[in-house]
Amino acid sequence: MPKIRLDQVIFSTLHPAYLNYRTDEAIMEVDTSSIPDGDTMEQNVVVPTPKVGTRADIYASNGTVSTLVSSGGRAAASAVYTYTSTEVARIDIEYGSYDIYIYLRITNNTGGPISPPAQTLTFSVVQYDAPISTI
Amino acid sequence: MSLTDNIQDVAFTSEYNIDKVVGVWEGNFDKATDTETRTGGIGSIYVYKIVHGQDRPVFTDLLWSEDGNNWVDGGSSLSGGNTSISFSDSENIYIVASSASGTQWFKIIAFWINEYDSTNPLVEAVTPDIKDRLLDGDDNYQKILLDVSSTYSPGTFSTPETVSIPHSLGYIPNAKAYFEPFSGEVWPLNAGGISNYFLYDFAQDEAYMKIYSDRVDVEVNKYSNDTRKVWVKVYLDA
Repeated sequence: MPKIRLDQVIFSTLHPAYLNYRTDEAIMEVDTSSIPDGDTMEQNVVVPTPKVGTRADIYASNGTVSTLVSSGGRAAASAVYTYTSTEVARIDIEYGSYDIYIYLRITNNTGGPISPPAQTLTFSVVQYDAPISTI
Repeated sequence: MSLTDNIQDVAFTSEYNIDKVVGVWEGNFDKATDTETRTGGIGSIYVYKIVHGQDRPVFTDLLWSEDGNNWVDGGSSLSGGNTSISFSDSENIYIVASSASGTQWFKIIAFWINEYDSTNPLVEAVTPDIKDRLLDGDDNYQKILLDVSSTYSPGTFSTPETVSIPHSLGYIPNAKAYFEPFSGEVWPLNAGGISNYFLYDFAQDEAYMKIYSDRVDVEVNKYSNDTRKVWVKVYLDA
């Protein structure tokens, strides 16, 4: 079997690459309703996918900031969510059969009620066919 | 005029690399019996190991589930609060489980790291049946403009440092980054301090990312007091 240097090839010769990349957008207006101390507020937006088994990288922006979402829920939220206080915010990505759900979860640990500031999160959803079986 | 002068019209071109997949794994494990516990000064995590067969780390992309039906991204949590992430070293891929009980399902895709070091080892080539090697042109392949690595200096107690990678695109591109919170381990970005489940040791760095029209910033919170690396890929919007 021949050997190769992978830094010198364009395609992986070991597995198919991600293909059919396309970008969709979703917008979330953050719910400003009061969150009691100790509660978690959850809201989501849904992005349809053309195929079962789609893989996605998701980016979020809030004003001038844009960041990768798929590599860490808390890291992603900390870069785009405008905090009221010390609440814990996460952005989580869930895959349905023909939909991708983007969740914002805010846990109020501040000792009193909070109301998240009005803000708009824009999600750029980059979808692919990935070399994994049907989800 | 060459088609490569209009890159947006080309599904695939040899001028730009695309991500190279070197391994795909699917399965499940018992979190109580199949994981090892890693304990640091902050807490413990539970890791399931998969031998990846390369002689240096790989980038990993994780989907995970607790029932085999509802799947979430690596780094994301299920509504019940459990979460998971994956990373690698030169021998293994590690899936971090957020509890030590129950079953976890996974789909792991591993990518070659062009900029890991200067060794560029030879790997076994594969010659598949030509009928299995389809170039699907429904949409584009995502093409890599920049594939670079950089380092950050030693620091402790959450000392911040911005690793800035400039680009010339003039718009906010797609980008990915990984970093080295422990020597020799390649992790996806994760941060959040005391609310970051994956932070289990006082010598473990954190990082997140901001993308601009002229640069990508990896914001590092340093704990390791060691020189470590970040890897950034910037993609063409074409």
